[in-house]
Amino acid sequence: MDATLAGFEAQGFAIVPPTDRARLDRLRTSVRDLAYEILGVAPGDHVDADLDRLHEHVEPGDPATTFRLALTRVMSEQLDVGREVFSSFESQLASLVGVDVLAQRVPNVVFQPPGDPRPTELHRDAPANSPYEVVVWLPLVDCAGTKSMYLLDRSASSEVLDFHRAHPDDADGFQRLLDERAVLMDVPYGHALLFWPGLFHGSLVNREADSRLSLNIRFKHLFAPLGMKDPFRYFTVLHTSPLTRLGLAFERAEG
Amino acid sequence: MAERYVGVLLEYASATNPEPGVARAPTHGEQVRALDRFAERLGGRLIASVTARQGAGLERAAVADVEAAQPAGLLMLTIDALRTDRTIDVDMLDRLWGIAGEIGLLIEDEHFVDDATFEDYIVMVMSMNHVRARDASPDWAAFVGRSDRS
Repeated sequence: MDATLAGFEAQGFAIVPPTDRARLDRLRTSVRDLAYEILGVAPGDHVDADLDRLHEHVEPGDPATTFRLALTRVMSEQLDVGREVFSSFESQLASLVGVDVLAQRVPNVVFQPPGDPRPTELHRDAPANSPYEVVVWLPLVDCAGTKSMYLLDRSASSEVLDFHRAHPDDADGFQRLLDERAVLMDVPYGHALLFWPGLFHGSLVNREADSRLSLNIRFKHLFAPLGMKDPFRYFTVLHTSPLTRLGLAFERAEG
Repeated sequence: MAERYVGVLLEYASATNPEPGVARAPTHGEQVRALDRFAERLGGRLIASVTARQGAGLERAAVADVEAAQPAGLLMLTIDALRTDRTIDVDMLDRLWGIAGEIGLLIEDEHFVDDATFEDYIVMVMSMNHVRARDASPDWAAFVGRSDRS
């Protein structure tokens, strides 16, 4: 087995480089252009600096949330983010979910300017999401320290869950264990963090000097078990194999 | 002349909305108004509507009403209007496409005006029918629906 995939299975996550860097760069430039169009500000010559310094144009708190929602909407209207992300990391993602692929229709956009008081609380996606999905966390800027997200790997996630079940009222003990086990991910731009939705994760208040802008989007095999989300609202078919198309056409014609 | 659309409403089995965070299911009047606005966005108007029952789908008589209206297109509140038990009635969806040649799904934010995009959606519907039929056990529903996710 490929070492990256073996690591993914053992730890529940992997940080991977793109298979198509140029495509990823084009996606990032498009996001930068849309962001600056929303802000009514002319972008500079360097995409990374433009995104790192977004906080110079958006206040933390409610304005940051309004900006994030506006960016999410225009991205989903004007970009095919699911296809671009999948194609950018195709070799790893196809190895995990196959070639019959469902993609999350609207990617989640996370904007965390320095000092923004609303980090993402500790949670895991599955359940209620399907444990047969993969989450792609894609930073559009270099992310490290509190500018990044934290993750508990498979064994640490199991450990904190066991603790919580054994000591449901011991919040301090749970927090201590979490602080010991959570690891802030170091993910430079040009890489993606692929993780299994059964892992606990979250983020802290961004105490670094620059803004974090990241996307997260989920992919699953077309025929893999669903979670609680309505697939017709949450997913779209990204790709099907010729064999799948033949089978479905046969069933439709003769079923 | 404005395009003439027929709406497909959904009579929910319960007044409780299935969507988290929404207090109740949309009423008949609210659905008609929402589909009318949908029609306006497409440059048309709603000339009639038929109603499907949640979990039972659309009755054949309702299809006859759609056919008689000779609409330019069909605007459905949701693909769930064609769900019988756990799966979407693909034959019914096919038949409605044959009648209307244009289908919009308000909640799912879908709009099909050509065979290629409609056929892509059929792939999604058939695949999800397979998955939902296979995942129909109470054990699986309890597993993905349990509350101790954090």
